[in-house]
Amino acid sequence: MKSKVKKIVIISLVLILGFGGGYLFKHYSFEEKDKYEDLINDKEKEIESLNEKYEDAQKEREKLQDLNDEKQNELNKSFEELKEIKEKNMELRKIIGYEEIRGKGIEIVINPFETLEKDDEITHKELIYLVNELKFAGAEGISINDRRITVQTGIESSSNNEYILINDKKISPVEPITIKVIGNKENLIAALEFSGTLEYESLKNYNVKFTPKEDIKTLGVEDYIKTDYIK
Amino acid sequence: MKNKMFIIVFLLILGISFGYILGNYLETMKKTEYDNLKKEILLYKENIDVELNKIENIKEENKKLKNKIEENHKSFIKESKELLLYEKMNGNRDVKGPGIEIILQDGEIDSGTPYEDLEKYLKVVHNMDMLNLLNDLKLNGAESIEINGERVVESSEIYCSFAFISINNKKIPTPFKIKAIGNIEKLRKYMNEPFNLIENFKVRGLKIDYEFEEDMELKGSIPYK
Repeated sequence: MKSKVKKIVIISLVLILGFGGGYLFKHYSFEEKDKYEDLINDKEKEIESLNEKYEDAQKEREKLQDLNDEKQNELNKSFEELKEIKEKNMELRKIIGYEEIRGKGIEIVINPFETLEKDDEITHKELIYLVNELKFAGAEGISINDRRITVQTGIESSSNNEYILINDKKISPVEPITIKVIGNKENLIAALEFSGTLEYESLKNYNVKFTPKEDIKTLGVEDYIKTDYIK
Repeated sequence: MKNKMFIIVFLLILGISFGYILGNYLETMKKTEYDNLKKEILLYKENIDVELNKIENIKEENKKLKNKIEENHKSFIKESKELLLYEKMNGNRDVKGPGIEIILQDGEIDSGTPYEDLEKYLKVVHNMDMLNLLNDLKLNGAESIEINGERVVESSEIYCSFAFISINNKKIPTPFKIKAIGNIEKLRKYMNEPFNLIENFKVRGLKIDYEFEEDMELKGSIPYK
């Protein structure tokens, strides 16, 4: 029994000795051993530093992204505000007369009778009267021979009523005159059909026809609206 | 004895082989670990580059957003100024400027004379008088007008309503105080013309008085929609 234990001990010792020798041999014969250790250490340190750098970059990116999201929201808001104010301005530009407007309304054609004498011709007064009647009936936009009537438009007879001036454009009192009106058709027609409306002064010397229209257009004017003095 | 030696040598070689193999294995592990670290570093570097690129892109985008916001802000200021002007023109806001103030009212009617009806007709301010006066003012440089604090706008009607004149659906009594802001020189020239509407009013016996002002104010009487 003792001999058997002795053998096992001897075998184990020989194996351990051999194993240790083999391992040490390999260990010491590996020339770049230290170099690898150092390199691995360096690389590990580099990784650590890169990781920090990466995390910093990620944080910065996230921060900037948040900032961008805020800016994007701000931009969207500014677009909304701009759109809203532009729409408001466009609405007012239409009302004031800078821009063309379209809508339902009526078209009035004033035709002189063939027997029209010089003294029977309409002047600026009849047109001023008619424009006022139409405004009373709720007109939202009026043009006479495509000359838009704005808040600053004056109507003027000139050269012994050879012509009537609207926004510096001539309108002949002996030629057909077309008035386009945007507004409630029923009210506009009711105003024109009301007794006496079309009998005012020289209007009675003209054949006045009016037609309801589903889509009528009054052009805008830019040059005849002045804002040089109002502050 | 020979056999024993042989076994010992064999076991020694076996141990050496195992030791060598293990050493070799550990050595390979180190190399692999090193290579893996190198790969990991490359990957980190790539990822960092990706992040840095993203940062650059975001910065670029940020710059663009800032510019767009700035542009929008400038446009908004421009539009706001326009809106202010349009609201002034549309009668929503007060306006100031040089102009004329005209006070127009009915004349004194002599009762009990044979011409009483004619006098009543001539010496009363009719809506057409007002319309013609406004028209003349517009033709002679007026940019904005009000009657008794009620602004004349694109849709304003001037209508006769009993003892009043109605404008913007509001009744206003005499005396009519008409204020017009505009080119004061043109207005002055018009008021000095010998055969203008003002002279006509005077001849008819209407009471009319006026003065020019370098700085007057018209109220914004039209409500916002």
